[in-house]
Amino acid sequence: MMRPAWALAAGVIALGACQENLASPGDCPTLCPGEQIIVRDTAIDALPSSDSSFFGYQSRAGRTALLIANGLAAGEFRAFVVFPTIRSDSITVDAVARAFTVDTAQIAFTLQSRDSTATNLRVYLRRIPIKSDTTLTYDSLTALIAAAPVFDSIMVPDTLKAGLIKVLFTGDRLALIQTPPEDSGRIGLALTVQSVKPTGIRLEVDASASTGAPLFQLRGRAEIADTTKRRQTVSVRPGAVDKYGYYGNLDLAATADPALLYIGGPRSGRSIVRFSIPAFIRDSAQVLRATLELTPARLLTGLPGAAIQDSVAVRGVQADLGAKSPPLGVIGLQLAGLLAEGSQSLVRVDLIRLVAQWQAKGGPPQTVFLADSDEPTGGSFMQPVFYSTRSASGQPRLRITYGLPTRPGRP
Amino acid sequence: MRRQLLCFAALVSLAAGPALAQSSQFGIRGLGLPIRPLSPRAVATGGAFGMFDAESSQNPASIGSVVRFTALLSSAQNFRRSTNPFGSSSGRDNRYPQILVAGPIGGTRFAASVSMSGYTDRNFSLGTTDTIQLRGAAVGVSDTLSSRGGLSDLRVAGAWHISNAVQIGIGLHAITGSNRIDNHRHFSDSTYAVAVEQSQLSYLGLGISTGISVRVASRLTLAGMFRSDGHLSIDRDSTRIARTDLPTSYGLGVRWQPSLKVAWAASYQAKYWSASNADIAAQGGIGAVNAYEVATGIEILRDPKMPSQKPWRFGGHYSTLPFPVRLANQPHEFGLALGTGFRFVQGQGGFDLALERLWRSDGAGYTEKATILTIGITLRP
Repeated sequence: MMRPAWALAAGVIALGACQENLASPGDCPTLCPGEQIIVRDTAIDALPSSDSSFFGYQSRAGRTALLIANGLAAGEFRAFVVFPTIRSDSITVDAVARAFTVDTAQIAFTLQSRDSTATNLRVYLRRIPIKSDTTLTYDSLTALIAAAPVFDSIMVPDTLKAGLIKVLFTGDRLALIQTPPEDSGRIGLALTVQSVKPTGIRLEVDASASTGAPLFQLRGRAEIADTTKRRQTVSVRPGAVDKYGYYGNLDLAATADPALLYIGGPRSGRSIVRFSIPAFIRDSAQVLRATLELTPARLLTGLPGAAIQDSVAVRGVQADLGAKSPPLGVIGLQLAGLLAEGSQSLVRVDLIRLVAQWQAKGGPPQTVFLADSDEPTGGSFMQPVFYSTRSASGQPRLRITYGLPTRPGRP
Repeated sequence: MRRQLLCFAALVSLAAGPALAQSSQFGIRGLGLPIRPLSPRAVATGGAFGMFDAESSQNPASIGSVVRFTALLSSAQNFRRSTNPFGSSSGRDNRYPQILVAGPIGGTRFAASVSMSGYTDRNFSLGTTDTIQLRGAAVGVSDTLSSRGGLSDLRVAGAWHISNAVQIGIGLHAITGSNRIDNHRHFSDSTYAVAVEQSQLSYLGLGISTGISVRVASRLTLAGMFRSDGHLSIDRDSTRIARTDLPTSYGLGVRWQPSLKVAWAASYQAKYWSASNADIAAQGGIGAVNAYEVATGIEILRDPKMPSQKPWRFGGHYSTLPFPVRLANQPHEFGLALGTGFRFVQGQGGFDLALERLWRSDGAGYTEKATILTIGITLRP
């Protein structure tokens, strides 16, 4: 009889203990026992003359993309690929070399990016010498292209934003990809594009030269009794890093103005910018928003209409060693600011997480490295140039919104 | 005795989580909303029986009437609606306003008690909205200032049952507690992080109380008590920041039993909070003013041999509150209460229930209505 009563009481108490809502409407500072958090906003200019640009970070061997453009304001881009040796007369099946009769050949690329408004996009293929490699220049590649007629092209469907594009050779067209015996099946191609308007494309060359790299494939019949094994294919992709690449005719860094900051481009420019946040903010304030503001010194020209917008990558550094400063290893601290193609509008990069690192006791130096976000994957059409602290206006600055403690709790 | 100590330890551990008492917008200023150290039985009579109630912590002389070990844990569920010039809101919270153990000291006329009561309550949460200019754009902000905690009164008391007519008692009080304050500002633009500020205030003070209960006639008992609370040391994040003088107070009570089944009581208490005024003002507060309370209540027993078995209790009180929300507007509180109780296992255990309706106002737009259900569990092993 008594047990249910005890249980009821315990239940009521336990239930009540779980419920709490203390809210009351108020008006501060009239009613509040303390001030509201003071929120302020300030702009901190980069340390004068401490910002500069450096070049040569990413070698061509590290590039994993082919950029091709025609008539872009960002420049002309041409690409080349030399496929390695491929045998077209025999094939090994069941560890035995068999006679192989090719009836179809395929050349394929993986499209990564394009201007979706550029219709009737066509990629033109020209044969170039197989000895072509990354010692080429834009001019020498252009000369090779000029000397070689178009032997075929790939029509890119207007609806295709990214994916496989290819051309097939059968019948008499197989003669187009025939090579002299001394070339051992190797074939060199130069790539150009054309559309109804100036445009460009980005093709993938994955680092392992496996699934995404340009493909040269032969399909045919092997002489073998087992009919299930007669149909065979053999494929090659450009494995040697000096056997593919691209060149542009515009290198802003070639005539770099020391009063400006450069990122990206053929020389993989990076820029370093240093700040000094006032001690009262660094030590006592809670940073609510921190935005790096960069002012483009020239129009940001790249590939218009691309699905993926160009961006500037901003990283902190472990130690400020100038051009060779090691980047911060904290995951998620590579920040990016979008670059609006065709504009010269202010570029903003949210740095609150990095500034939080700067506020930590013994935190990293208040230095940021700017780079092209596409640098690790082969670069981009855009070569952003920003004003520096030596410029008359538009200097880099850090805009910080911060809260100051008010120590609430007065009686 | 060991069993009794274990019982008290269990009760205290049960109540270790939540703070004491109830939240209110009238607890925002000063040291918070004053709490009456009453058992559910005394609450149900408007507080009038508090001066005579051994399970309350108002008058140390009252524990002289304890004849067997008693442990009490009470829980109060508070439902509240607050209105002020900036809007209205409803709230609820649960607290443990009174924990007590008391018992006679065997073979003597002495009794002792240890209790933990609410002293003041500073649980509240204020919400405001505004629009500020940031980076050239209007950004909506939503501020929340939350306070958790308050002051508790740990009393160790002893009483001497001098005769059947007279009891005296003395209590030593440790006034302790903390107040954790969280200040948050949310922005309508999510690119701004939430601004957060936290601080912790810790309090410590000492007090002493003494009381007497005299049966002046066979059906009439008077009681009185006097208490002085010294001063309160206030630390913020382990750094001493202030000292606040605490009030002295006194109380008088009368209980009349016209029959064995009916008892009526009334009480008056005065607390001189003006002693805190200068210190609170110096710390940036509005200040403090003296406060008083009058209460009256009736207890009707069904069976005088089992006084705690299903009695009817009624009462009401009126009090002024010491910490104005705004200058020159002293808030006040009026409350009506009723309750009953149950005993079982030959009186070794029981419940007491009290339902209280409170109206608070400062006469200038700040009002509050609250309903408080208090449940007390009593053990007399």
